[in-house]
Amino acid sequence: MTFELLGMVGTRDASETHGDLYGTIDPDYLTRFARAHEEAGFDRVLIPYGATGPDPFAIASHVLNATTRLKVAIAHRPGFIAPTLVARKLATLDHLTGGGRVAIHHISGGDEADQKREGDFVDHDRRYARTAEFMGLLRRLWESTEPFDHSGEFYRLEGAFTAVKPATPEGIPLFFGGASPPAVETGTRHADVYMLWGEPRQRLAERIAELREAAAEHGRTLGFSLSVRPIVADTEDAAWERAERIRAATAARVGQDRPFRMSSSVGSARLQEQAAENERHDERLWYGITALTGPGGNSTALVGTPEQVAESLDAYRRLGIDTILIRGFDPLEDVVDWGHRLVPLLRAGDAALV
Amino acid sequence: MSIEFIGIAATQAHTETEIEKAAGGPPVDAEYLRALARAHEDAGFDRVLVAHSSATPDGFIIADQVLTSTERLGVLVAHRPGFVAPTLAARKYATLDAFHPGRVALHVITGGDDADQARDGDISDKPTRYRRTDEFLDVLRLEWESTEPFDYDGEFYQVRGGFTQVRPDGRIPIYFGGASADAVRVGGKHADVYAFWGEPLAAIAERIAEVRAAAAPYGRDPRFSVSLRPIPAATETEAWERAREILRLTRERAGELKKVFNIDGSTQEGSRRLLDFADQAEVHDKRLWTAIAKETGAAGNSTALVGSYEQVAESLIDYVNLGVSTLLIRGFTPLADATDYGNLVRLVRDQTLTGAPA
Repeated sequence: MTFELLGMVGTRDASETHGDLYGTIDPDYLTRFARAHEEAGFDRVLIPYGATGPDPFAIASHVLNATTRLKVAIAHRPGFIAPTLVARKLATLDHLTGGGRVAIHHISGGDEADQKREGDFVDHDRRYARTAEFMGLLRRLWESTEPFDHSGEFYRLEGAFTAVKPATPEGIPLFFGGASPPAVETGTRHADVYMLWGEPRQRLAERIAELREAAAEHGRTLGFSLSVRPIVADTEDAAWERAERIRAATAARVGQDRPFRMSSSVGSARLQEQAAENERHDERLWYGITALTGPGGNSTALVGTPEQVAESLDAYRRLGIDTILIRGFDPLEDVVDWGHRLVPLLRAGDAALV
Repeated sequence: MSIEFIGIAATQAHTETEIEKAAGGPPVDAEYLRALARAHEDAGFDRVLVAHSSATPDGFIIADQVLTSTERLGVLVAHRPGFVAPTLAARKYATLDAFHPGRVALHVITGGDDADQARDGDISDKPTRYRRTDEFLDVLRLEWESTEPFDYDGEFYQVRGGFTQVRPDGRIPIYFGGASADAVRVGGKHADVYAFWGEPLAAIAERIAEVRAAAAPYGRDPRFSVSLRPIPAATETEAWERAREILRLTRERAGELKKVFNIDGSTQEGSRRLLDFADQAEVHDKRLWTAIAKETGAAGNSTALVGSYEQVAESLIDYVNLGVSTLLIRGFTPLADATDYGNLVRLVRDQTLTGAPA
């Protein structure tokens, strides 16, 4: 698979250390943030989803219109929009933005309270079953040349059809995340790219092996994506000092009712166990923020010089990771900085791996 | 107040007379959409309607493209309750409004056609759908306006701790359509603007009175919109020649039209009313022409005003004098008509702003 570098955009300046993560929308900031990713050499940005946050489809449209080649992966929770309508939304956006720049990332909702905020009372395991039905329907809607009927556990359609198909033969990739057994079942059956959070290499290698085996049983091969939070500086000492400053700024905000408690998922629990074992795994995988913001999501950091961080990411790539999602604690400034110092190293590493 | 003009957004040339242009073309022609949006802005329109059906591309995405490619034109994004959670729908409208402040409006349609609803997975019957629309709009407003997390327990929606950090800056107006008694009851409670298809003047006057009566108990005083398909020309004779040519083309394509427009014996009350008027007379009032409605089963806004620019403007003003303040006009060749309708927009505005006698 081709190497793909992902970033992530928010609608205002915020991270664990500052700002309101799911606050209001600053369109100018979003424009600058999207363009910074494009200029830094990123291929795609993830558009996050929150139960009290803005609509990711509208954000994606803004990002795609503000850039010329940057792609998006739109986070989506099945259960709140009819699958036929989502299929048409994605295909419509694909056509209106030149073709080939749109992907969807399926999250099945780790947090019960967050699901209920939007009126969903389905339990964790059944949500993954719903995601499976949803993903299957997306593919069928895009591929079907005739109206079809469908009668499943969650969706019933009569004469379902979309005249708007993906704009290019490559189609609209389906990303997926989730660590529990029902998640593995759904993701290995339906995903193009399985997204993983940053864990120690040995455990990540085990997970990839397990997922490949499950996918093989379904006659499928998957792409794998790794999400981590680089903390980069000129020297290793300076990078660790920066990590401590990030820790202090985050610690000052924990308990202020910030929306860090995003998830009670199996993936979060794994990260917490690893954080309890050791604050640092491998050479530079740092759990300082994970421990503070638990259960939390993508929060493990790679701390070091650009060369050291690139080396660590290359090591993950040799395990079978072909997509890397990086986002920082100073999100816009980091993207600009990485464009100069980190992204060229990752591209060089990719050339060496190929 | 100034008369609001609403036109139509479309992603391809796709009307009763333009079917052949769409065949073989892309279902979403980005250049056509942008050109159509700009033509409306240049002609003085206030908004364009972005329609919704199971057969059309997604309206939210189209709306963002329209708003991004124009400077002041607004959108009226049609939405059918039942396919998006009301909490998320509220945030969708608020997000679009945050990117394009004050330019977004919501048009609630409850879905007249059972088969079209079923294509997107909704198997409920029509009275049920109106009860759902009522709840949907309750939750939508709570999500927009509640400053604290809220709970809601309804027949269709249950919410625990609903909340949004994205809210409209001002009020996102709610337009509402529907001709049945259920529609009037729910619309009277929620509508900022109640929308009618183009019926004869006397019928519109009756319906305005009916909706006002339904709205009064809620302390509401909605505005009114009428949708029409003007066929203007330099002279009345030329206009009727155009109308006859449009009818000829529509008849020629009747079979294909039924397929493309999903016309399958609509059960909508609004369609039934238009077909009744068509049976009574081909022309009502001065120039309300019902032949296309009859030919196409009146599956949508399908009655026309035929005449010179001055005559069509005069007929539009007749509706204004009944209490209508929004005119939704779209043609049979949308791109050319949007530009041409600039004449009607100017004539109507001139005559309604200068206090010309009714």
